[in-house]
Amino acid sequence: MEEITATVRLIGAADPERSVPRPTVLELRDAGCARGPDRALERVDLRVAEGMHLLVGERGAGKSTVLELFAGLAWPDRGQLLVRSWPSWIQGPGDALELAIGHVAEEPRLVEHFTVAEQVVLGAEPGRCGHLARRRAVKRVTALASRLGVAIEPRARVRDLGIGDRRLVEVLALAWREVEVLLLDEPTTGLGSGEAARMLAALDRLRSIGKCLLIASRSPGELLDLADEVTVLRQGSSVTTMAGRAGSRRVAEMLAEARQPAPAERRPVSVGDTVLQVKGLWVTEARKEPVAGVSLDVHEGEVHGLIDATGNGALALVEAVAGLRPHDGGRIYLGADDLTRLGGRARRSLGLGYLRPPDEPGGLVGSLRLWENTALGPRRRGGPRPPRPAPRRVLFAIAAEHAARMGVDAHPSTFACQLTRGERQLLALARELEGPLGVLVAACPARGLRRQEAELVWARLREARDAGAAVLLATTDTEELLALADRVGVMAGGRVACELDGRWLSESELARAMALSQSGFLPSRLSARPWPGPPEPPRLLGHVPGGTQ
Amino acid sequence: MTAVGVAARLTGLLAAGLAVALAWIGLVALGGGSVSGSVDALAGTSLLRADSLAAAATGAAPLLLAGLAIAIGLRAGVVNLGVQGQALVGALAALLVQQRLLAPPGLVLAVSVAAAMAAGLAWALLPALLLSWRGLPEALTTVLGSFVAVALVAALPLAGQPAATSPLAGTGSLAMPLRRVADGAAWPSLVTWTVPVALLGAVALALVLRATRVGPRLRAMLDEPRAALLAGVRPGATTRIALLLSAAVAGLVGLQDTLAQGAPVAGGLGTIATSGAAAPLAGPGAAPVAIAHLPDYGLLAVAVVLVGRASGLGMVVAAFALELLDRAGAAAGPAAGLSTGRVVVLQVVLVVAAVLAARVVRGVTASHLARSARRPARKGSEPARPVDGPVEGPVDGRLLEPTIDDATEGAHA
Amino acid sequence: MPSGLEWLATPAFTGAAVQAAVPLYLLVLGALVCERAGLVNLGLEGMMLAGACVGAAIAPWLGPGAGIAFGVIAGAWVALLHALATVQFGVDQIVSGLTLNLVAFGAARPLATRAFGASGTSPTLGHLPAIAVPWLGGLTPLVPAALLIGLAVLVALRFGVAGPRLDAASAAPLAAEGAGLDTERLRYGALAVCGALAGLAGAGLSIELVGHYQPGITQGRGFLALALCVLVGRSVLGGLVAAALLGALQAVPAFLPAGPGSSVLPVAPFLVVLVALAVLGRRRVSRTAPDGWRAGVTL
Repeated sequence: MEEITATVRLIGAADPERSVPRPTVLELRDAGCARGPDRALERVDLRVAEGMHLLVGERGAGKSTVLELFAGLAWPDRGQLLVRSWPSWIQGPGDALELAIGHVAEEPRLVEHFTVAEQVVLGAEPGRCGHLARRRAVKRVTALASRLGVAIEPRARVRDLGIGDRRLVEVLALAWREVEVLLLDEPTTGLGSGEAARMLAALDRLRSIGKCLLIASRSPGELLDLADEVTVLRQGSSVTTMAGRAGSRRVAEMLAEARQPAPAERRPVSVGDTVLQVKGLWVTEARKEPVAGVSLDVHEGEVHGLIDATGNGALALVEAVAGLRPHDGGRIYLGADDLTRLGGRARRSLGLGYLRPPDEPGGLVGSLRLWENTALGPRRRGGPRPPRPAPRRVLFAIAAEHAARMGVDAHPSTFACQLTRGERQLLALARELEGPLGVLVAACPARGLRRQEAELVWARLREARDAGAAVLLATTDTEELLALADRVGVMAGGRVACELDGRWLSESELARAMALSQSGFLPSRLSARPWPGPPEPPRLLGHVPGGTQ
Repeated sequence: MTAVGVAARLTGLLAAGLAVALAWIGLVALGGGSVSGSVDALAGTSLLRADSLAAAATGAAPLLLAGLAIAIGLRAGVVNLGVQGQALVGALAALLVQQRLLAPPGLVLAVSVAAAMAAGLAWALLPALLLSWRGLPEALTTVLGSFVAVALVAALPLAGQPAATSPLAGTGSLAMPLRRVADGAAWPSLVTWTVPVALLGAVALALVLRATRVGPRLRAMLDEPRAALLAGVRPGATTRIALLLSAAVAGLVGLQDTLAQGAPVAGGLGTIATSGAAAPLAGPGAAPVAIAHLPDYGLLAVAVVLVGRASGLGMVVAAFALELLDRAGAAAGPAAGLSTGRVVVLQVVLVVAAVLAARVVRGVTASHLARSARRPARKGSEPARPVDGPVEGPVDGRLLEPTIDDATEGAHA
Repeated sequence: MPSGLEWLATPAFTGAAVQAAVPLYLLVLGALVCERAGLVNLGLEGMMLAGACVGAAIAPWLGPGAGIAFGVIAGAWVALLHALATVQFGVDQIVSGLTLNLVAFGAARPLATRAFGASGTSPTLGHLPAIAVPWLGGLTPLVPAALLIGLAVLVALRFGVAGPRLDAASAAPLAAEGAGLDTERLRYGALAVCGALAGLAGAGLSIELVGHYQPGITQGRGFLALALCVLVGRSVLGGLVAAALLGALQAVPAFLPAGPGSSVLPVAPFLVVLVALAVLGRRRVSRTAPDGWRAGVTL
């Protein structure tokens, strides 16, 4: 990492644009922030001037938390927060709006049954004496949208919009309120190329009319071309800030390089029998079809990873397999059992384990102690029958054993809410591995975790795979996929567009595969190497892979 | 329970008691009486002797049963507000069995208890069905059913008069004293069978919630439904069963009063909805109460649950406290500054103080939990560091950590 | 018309039905406002009782108009207590509603005893001057008042900013907060309106309709209104129709000759609503905030 930091400073020093100072709008001095037992930010120094300022970093680096500090959704317990050079205490979103700061979260926060016009004008409605002048609202919203170059129908209902349009609606709402600072969390993540282009055009337009934009992004892509300044965050601390454009692009790519797992972790694996078979599965959701006739199989001792280039098909698929979502059409076989007609509970009792994303409820129940949480574990056919009623001693011992196995230092009488999210995820994993496991279905198992904790979760999943478990993994994070998957399926438009050999895959190849799948080109195998193949030669720093992109 | 949880709980209890005492003093002073004179009048009553305590326990038993009925539902997230109607139909069914069935007393007792529970359960069938099929809130449907029952029962001539036979004549009845004595009022003869039944129910509730898997699964169902779903909890079936069980227990509530030997509440919360004066407090051999004149157990049940916070032990204390307040009012009367209206006010003060104290306890234990270091896995190793600095402010309008007050209650240290 | 039922078409019965519908309609309006705001208000019965009791206590001294005004204030006051407990102190909504019911019932009895004597029943109270309506005869001015209030609520929710803002606060509180709305103030406002309406209903009940206060005067109308609110969804007009029907049902016992079945007649409104819920109640998509009906109860 030190070499990268040194190279970064060199590049930064050479950029002439950096010498022109601009007025500071937002500033953080030595700020720290805690989220329950997790320490979200350690030391962050940040100066945001007018224009587009980009925050990059891995997941768990604290980018969203920095935005939330300014949005009034999180509060620093150390250091100073300054807005326009005045120390400020932003208690909530109302305070932020008074300071002309607006926030757009990664998951759009909209009222489903509103029209676009109603949503945009909410809180600052046109009309006198409490009367809502609907026609005037529609007219003015249309004018605002055309001023920003956003093409959106003001009478459309929010629930019919896709995620790109929803984020644009939120941006429009902030423009309606005439905020001067826009905080955007992952504005282009998860968008198709067309939608991303529209978003980028709108952001560029906003910047040109003088707004200050602070954008957090894991995979900035084209944002790097637009940004005026880039700050890199790592593990809750700011590493460096530098001017935008070409130099920072190289930095980001180097960061991506450094994340590649060491070659020693890749190993040839002997794959066992097919455990899980999915044939022709369809999942429909609100007039869309995230999964349209997908077939796949998972073998013993293998991690089969899925990622969706265009939407949430992978997550929808694994939720349907786990029985949490209804699926129309298709069959699911676990070993010799046909799971198609069974509910989630029955599927779990037959040996299907499910691991939820850590930031969604459903793992460990926070208000229960660890030994009580083990009482919520699956009761699998063929597994040990716990005595009824389960004496506390037995559950205690189980909880202690789980904690020891996962390396979590916590007494079984600890409340689950006292553990960090990563520890809770590890214990949830231990609970799922209890008893005869057929297949473990994992959905984004390390989302929202700090880097260290994410790596621990991945290490335990790899251990489970080495011990012979079959794992079906769905994720939106390419890094997770590269760290875990033996076989990678890239989904696009509801189908599996291509299959890749995950063990020898590089990030750029995966990115290329996803881009090609998005565009509709559907080769069946992009990777030309046989299975298994020789290891990749180690990469040299400074060498940009893949040549021109 | 954690030490902090126990301490907070006791402090809340003391605070509620203190609030009642202060309210009493305030009422006496406002009424122009002398506080010392009231205290003397109160001390002069024989309230704390064994036999009056026994009579109070007997009077508190139906309250405890009613509170248990609501608590069983509440623990599963079901609000059963139709306790009054279910108690009425249960008492009616038991009365019919008593009058028509010719059998040895034990059998009559068993059958009448079963009939009462079945009648109460039947009265909650429609709300349970509406809950599962249509998703209609059971709080409303049970209340409507209760009003229907009250109106129907009031129209029946059977319910208009008290039961004809005296329970001491040998028919099996929950209202029979535990031991028959020929001479004066030794306390076992003042305690009816309802008392051990109610206490058993409270103990059973506490055991089921703390010592079996049911407790954590119910709490998971309420706190994080998706975790509970993954754990195999079936919320639909669980809420249905809880509602029906709650109604079955509610069916037993009126048995003691209608089959006499009861000591109906005189004044107090149970009679504020009726315009007539209630039957006075009575000793052994009391006359049965007509079903149509039963006190308002719905309101009383809610009071017991709110003060006792839906836990077995808490509700025992709550029922006893409410009944003692009634008896103090009846025994000492206006001389102690405890007219009927004032007793009601004191009971209401107890409920409000208990609710607020519970809220404070919840906040204290939650913030203590967020701040405290957690116990290490092995003795002797260093405890994990607590969070640097306090966890401030709500994130999305609610407390950052889930409320773990029920958790501190449900687990033993 | 079948014999024995001619009284159904008389102006006397229609007038009585219309007047009986007024308290119920006001309560339903209050319940609709609360439901729009995503609040669970089980304390409606207590708010009505507060209005009835305070109104009946004030009316002998200061006249029926002042009695009604004080009843409105009493109902709003109880509602603000509910808002204080749930919004500021974080008490669970169902717990707070039930506690306030208890408080209202518990405080009304001694207050009535003190004001009216041991029986708790007030003497006959004076009425507001009646309005002459063609064919219906004299009606209490509360009837047109209730209709106007209903119209005002309809206009405010449908054409004003209140409707969308309450929708946002209940369905997506994060979105509302992000738009700078003060969800706490919205909740306070909604509860205050609901309490005022309930207080008006209670005072109107004791002063105008029944003519005096007696313990148990409310007879479960608050819960009936909550059930009607569930039944009609968001429609103010539907609430009017339902309240009118139930008012007619409640007016029937006074017109039927006393017979063996007449003591069962008070059951009719509850039974009808229960059956209507069973037949017509739909599984409605929950638009309310998480702390709605189905979140369980935290004591």
